[in-house]
Amino acid sequence: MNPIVIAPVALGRDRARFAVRRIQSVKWRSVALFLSALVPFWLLIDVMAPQTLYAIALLVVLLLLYLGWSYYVVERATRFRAVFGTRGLAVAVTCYIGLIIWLGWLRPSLLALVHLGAVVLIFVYYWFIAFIAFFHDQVGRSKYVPKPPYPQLTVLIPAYNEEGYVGRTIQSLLDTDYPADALEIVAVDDGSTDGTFAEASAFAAASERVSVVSKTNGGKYSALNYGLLFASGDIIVTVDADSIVDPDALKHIVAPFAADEDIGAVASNVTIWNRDSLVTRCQQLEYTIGVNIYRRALDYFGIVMVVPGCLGAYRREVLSEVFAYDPDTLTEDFDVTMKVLRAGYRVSVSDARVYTEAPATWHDLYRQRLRWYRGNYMTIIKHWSVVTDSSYGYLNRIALPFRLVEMFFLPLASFVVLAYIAWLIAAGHVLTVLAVFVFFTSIVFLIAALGIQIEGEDWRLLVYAPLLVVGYKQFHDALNVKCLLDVLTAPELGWTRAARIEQVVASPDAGAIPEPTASASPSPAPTPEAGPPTETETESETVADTDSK
Amino acid sequence: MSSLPSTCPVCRSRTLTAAHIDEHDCGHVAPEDDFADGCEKCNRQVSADELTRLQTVGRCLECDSLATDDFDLNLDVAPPLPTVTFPTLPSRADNLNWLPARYVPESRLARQLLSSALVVMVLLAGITGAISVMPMLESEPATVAAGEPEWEEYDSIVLFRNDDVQAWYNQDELRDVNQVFIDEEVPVTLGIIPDTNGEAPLTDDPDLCTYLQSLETDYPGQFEMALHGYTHEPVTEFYGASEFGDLPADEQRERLEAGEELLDECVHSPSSTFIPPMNTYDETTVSVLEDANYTTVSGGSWFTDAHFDGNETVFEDGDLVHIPETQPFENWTAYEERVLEAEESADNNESDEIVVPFEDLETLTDSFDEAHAANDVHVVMFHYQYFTTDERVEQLELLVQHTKDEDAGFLTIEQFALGLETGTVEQTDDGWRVLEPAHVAIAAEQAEAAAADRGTEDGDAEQSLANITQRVGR
Repeated sequence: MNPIVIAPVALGRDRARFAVRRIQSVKWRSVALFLSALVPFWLLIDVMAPQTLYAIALLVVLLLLYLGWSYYVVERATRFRAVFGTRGLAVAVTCYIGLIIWLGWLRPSLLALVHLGAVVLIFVYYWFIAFIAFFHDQVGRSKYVPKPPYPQLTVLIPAYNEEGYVGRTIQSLLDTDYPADALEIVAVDDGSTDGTFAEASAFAAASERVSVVSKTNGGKYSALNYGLLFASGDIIVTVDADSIVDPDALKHIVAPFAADEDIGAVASNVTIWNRDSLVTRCQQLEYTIGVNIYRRALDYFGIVMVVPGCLGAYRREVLSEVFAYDPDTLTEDFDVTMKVLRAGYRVSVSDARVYTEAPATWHDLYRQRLRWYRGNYMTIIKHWSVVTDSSYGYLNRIALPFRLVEMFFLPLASFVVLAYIAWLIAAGHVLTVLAVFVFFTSIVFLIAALGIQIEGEDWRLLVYAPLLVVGYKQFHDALNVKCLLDVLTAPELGWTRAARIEQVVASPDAGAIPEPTASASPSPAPTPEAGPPTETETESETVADTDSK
Repeated sequence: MSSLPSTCPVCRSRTLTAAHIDEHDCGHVAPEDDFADGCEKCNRQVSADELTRLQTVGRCLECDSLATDDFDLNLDVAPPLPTVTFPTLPSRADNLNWLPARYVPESRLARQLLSSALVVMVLLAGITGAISVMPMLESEPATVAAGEPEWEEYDSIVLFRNDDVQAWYNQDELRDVNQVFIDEEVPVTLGIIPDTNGEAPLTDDPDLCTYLQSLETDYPGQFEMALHGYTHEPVTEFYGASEFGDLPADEQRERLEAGEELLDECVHSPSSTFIPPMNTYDETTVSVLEDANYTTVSGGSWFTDAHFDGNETVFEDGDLVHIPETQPFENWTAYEERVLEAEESADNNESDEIVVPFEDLETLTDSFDEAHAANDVHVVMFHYQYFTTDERVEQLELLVQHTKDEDAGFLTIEQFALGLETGTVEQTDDGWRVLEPAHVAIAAEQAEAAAADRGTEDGDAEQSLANITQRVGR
């Protein structure tokens, strides 16, 4: 037969095969969950007053215009980058509120405003997060595939009183699937008063790849800065002394550096291993649908805002350029990431996985988050110029506004909503409140299911979805508000530390560190007891909000 | 604490010297010598008290690298790695581990099917949850949108009354006039004639009834459907002319019931206001209306002033609230004069064609201003059929806009009367205060009262909510 005649047929077959393959590669469970998560939104639209719908639609149009314009000025026309920036957006939103009140779409009251804001945020936030997560899952988990040659790597492990933990962390690093001749592990003992130094030294004695340096106690930032003096690698990886890295984590975390020269730092995915209590399971669900997926969304713009202290990687020269870690915030991981971003580098996320021990009691969680949230506010205030300076591109136009809403509007709005709910209950509308609760729980439930499906997490975590609507959520909102007030009234705050499970078992008083006080300027010669501990629990990412109303 | 090695770990040189590592206040960590010319991070000169000594280490004089204790160099044979135990780490593979082992299938395909079934269950549970509470939620955004009732204060109250709505007649004018109220978002009471001259029953005009029902549905609380007599014929000469006044009670009751029957069939929610044709009615009418559960009667103030001796615009008599019109839009005196003139000129045909003249706009606005200044209730009566030109419709629009420019509250006649009764409308020292939206507030009050009557305390909030839902959703 004439090959010219056959060709189109063959081509057609190929296309059909290709199409079949494409269809087979679609992850249908995610599709089903993503589509089902849209059902409650659709129902909500159906019962909304037309005016509210117009108001929402107008705001969504405004935000889309802003996003589109941001893309255009960052990618194509940087000469216009000062036009319609964050200030412009703030003015536009204010005008928008005035306009919808004038049009009668919104009653001029705080409650109505918060109500509208919450609904829009739920729409934008959940839909956006769900969509990005879904998209990520469909196109493949990461665009960076690890391949040789692997760069010279130095892992820094800052440790203060991490006996019983630091050895495990070092062993997990030695167990990683990374070329032995390219890996150097430096444990930094920050003046521990327990057996941390001895525990790490035993590994240093047994392996050429491990070394231990010790110094006077000075805090985590100080330990990391000190450790850098002994690091010879081109890539610096920081690992908390209570974390356990996945065997292929190091390969994954260096992959983005090879792929893109503009990448200055790379984040990992944090997983909690001690899931044996309500409070740790809630945290895992929070990590699954909040932190990890949220980070993937920002990855598209190269503006991941926190490289978690549990496991993160930096180019050596980038860390040197920004003079590494500063002493002036409580969340040095968020701070240093902001510095890297401000220096003009992209910050990306990898598929590297790290296991960490989450605070196991509400009290410990409280102390951990006290530090994170205070540190978050301190860092945002420290880097406030990013909010106003349009030369920071996506960081200025997208990441910061999003973050500000999350840190300032949502926690406060949550309490307005709570007061309204209390009023509804007092007025006898218990059923309505119950209905609202069930409704929003079902949204969170479906989104959580999508997150669990994508992250390959444990389905039992779904049981905790209602707590992300009521209970766990308000705990964090209240803490956020408290921390904001703390930072505004006493800018210099000390560390708060959660007790360690395995140390508590050994010594019941290990975690009993007194309530932080507003400390004076850094003490010139801190004694081991008085100095800030080189706390290893980090990752100051604000958790994605599960606002229900 | 110091840790000085004997050998450089990099070049194995044994020429090492001690180096002090310091930290500056700004957080910069470097060997002491580096701070001699100031801090390279913060570009400041450095004084000794700004530095904190972190450690003293070895610096190789050959290769300049820093070194601390070096363990492997001190021993000929490296000791084995210490043993550590790891906790059980969660992994993707043990997703189904929480199921008892006997339920987890062996084959990969079966396990995938099980996972898929789990996903389906989860999404069904989620969707079912959302859908099942939707009926309860429907009222929620509506009440939020309509607003929880809030007190508003006004200097005066304005009620508009559009009389003579009837089958077949001047339907375009009716729509034009109603559109004014829709556009201005001002409530109005429609006086509906059930069977004009006994020849045009409402129910024969399906378009009119459909239209009236659409007004009730689309603009809840804005259009009141009031009964305006039965045939609207001048049956007696009571105060000049009346359909009800001076008739025996039985006859009045029959007319009322016949009218009610037609109106009930035509609209969703007939109101409890009665508008007697020709604005006249007697005590018998009041008692018949009372028996039939009416709350309000709206005649003319010229008539009530004369017949009921009332000094107030709004008054109660025989358990009924009397809210007579205080300002006709049409100039009936001028009209009568023209009719007389025409009759004198003995041209009856001409008298039929006389257009009912309107009061001029100034008279109408002055009348409102006067009532407004006195914190009074101003009831404007008009007849839609005379709004035959754009200019005439515009005059109505201008009047409505004029009243809106002032701090006046707008209600239907029934809302005003029921508001007074339920306490959602109150007279104050300098005007009025109204719980708005009035129809929502009244419905809630009535529901609460009904629930209290039944003595079922548990049900009252739900009942009132259900009632609000019903009212708002209608």
